[in-house]
Amino acid sequence: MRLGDGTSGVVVIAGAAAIAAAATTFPDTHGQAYGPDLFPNIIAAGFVLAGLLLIKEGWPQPDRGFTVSLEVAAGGGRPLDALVVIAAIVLFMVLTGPLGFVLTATLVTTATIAWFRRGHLLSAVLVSLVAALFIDYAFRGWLLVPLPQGPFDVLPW
Amino acid sequence: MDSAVWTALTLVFDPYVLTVMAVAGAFGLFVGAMPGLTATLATALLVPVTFFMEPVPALAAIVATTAMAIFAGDIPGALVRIPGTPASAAYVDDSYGLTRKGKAEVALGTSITSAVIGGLFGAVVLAFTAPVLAEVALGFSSFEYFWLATFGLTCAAFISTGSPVKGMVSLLFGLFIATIGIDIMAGQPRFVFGSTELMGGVSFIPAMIGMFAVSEVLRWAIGPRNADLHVRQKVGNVFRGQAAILRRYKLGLARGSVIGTAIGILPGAGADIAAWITYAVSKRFSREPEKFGTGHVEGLVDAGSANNASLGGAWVPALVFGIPGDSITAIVIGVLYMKGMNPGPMVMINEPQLLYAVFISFFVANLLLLPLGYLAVRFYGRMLDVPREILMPLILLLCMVGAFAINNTLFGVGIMLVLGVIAFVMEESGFPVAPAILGIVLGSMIEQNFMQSMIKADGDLLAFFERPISAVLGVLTLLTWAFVLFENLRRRKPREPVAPRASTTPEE
Repeated sequence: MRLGDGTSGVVVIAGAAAIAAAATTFPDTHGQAYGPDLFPNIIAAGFVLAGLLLIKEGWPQPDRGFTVSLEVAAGGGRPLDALVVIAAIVLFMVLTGPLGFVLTATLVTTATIAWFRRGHLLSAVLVSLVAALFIDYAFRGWLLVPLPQGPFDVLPW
Repeated sequence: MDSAVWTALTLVFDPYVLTVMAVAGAFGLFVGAMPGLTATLATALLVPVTFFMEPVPALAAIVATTAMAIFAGDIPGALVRIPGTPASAAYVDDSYGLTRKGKAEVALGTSITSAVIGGLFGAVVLAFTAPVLAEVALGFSSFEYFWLATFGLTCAAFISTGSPVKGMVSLLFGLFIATIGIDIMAGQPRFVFGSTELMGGVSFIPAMIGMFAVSEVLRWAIGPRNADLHVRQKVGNVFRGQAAILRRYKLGLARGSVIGTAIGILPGAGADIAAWITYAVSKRFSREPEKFGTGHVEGLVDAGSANNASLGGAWVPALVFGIPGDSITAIVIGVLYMKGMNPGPMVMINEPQLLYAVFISFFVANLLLLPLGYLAVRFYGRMLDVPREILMPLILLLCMVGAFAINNTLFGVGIMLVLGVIAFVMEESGFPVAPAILGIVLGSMIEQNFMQSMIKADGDLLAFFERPISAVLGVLTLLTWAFVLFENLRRRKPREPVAPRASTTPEE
């Protein structure tokens, strides 16, 4: 997804307005003239200036002005494949708690590899399982990261 | 011998640290040699592991990874004309030109030897410059630090990007992310929307993994796939004839090393800019400029030494002032903060052995490059056989685990996803990502120094210019901003479109 310069400018100014609006809710610091809203307001002012410059840059250019394009710079155009990557991360977040890391990582990685390779399910399962076990051993067994184990607490490490 | 140097030597020459460096080096070679995967991405993927290490092996691992990855970018450039990292793109026509002439050994041997010599030169400059500058920096107050950090970020946003305005937006975005969480001065929660997870701020590592690695996976997923990357040429002994080449181009080698180190020291300019500028200078002063781009070894020597020399240079401002020279050292600063060490001149006083250990790691890493680089060249064909359709999902899995491991919560994975998507849209729209990362790392330091200075000066902005060094830095920063603003307003004609990846990301 690509935003034209004009569209980017509008988004940036809208973001600045949101920051400034949120900053008005910060209370003053007792006994000090400068509170927690000062720095965010400076950032918002910078965003407004940059947004105006972007709108100025995008204004005369019909192809790069107020546009939103689903094309990608490198060409190719497989938005569904990008959605698969995002879905894989969301699934990982949802399933890791109830199913545990090894099972979730195997499932998610198998599905992603099989999707990108358009098949090859057996090799995808094997690669994913080995990778999930290796990462679980390295992070949980060696680095002591408490990766969720889920209901299948059978691994020796 | 100084006891701190001796301690540093024993710390680095510990078998565990050397093993970590060798493994990290092999990892850096693999990632750097994969077309499209950058040295910054290698560092980003490495950080979750270094989080659990002592400071010296952690820093040594990063040094080894980056040194190897920057060199490794030359391998696919020479063999299949696809530079592995942007730093290798400057001279890819010459390295691939040599391969087409049947001289792949010459191209790759020159890459290795010039990278080693440039890297060693950068390490020497780092070792001698950092302690001297640290003495100067000891006299700095919050005013100097505020301007130094602001000037560093200004350079990062303006110098190395295609559109200064877009660099500025990216930088402001990073600074905004850094304000999320409890305010350091007043203890007021900001932009947390009731989330207790956000109270502690946006964790740097999930943010960095998202912006560098997840956006890269998304770009690969959505973009075209290069199916045929097979190496057809056998590569023999790459070191044969290298002594004669280095002797012949010793002046260019020295020039490349000096320019590379100097550019590395500049905030915001890294190995890729060092390589491009050195290549242009080399061509300008060459006796045979017409041969450049056709498989001529001279530009390869100069620019190959420059990109590795810049790595050592970039660590100078990072270690001495806490201001990163490029996106890799921005990650290093994040790692130092995580380890409870505030990068800056006090490190030289409190933990000099740590600084010396970094210097020694640079020497060791560059010497390790000779055998490991040789092996990487020998086995490169097999590396390319790993299908991207398998590699990318595995990188994604590593990203998710890395983002989880820092705070042991899936919230980090969410941060990674959100910032990864934002970074992807930003890069597609021509906004560089590296200034945002620098903003996230330096945001709290800038705000703290700014607020302290405002309180000290009771709101008098002229106080920011009363001390000589802060006045110079302040004027330089304001002049840079004024120049960019003036240029933008003066320009009548619309800019030529800028390729989002090629010229807007100062990322190695």
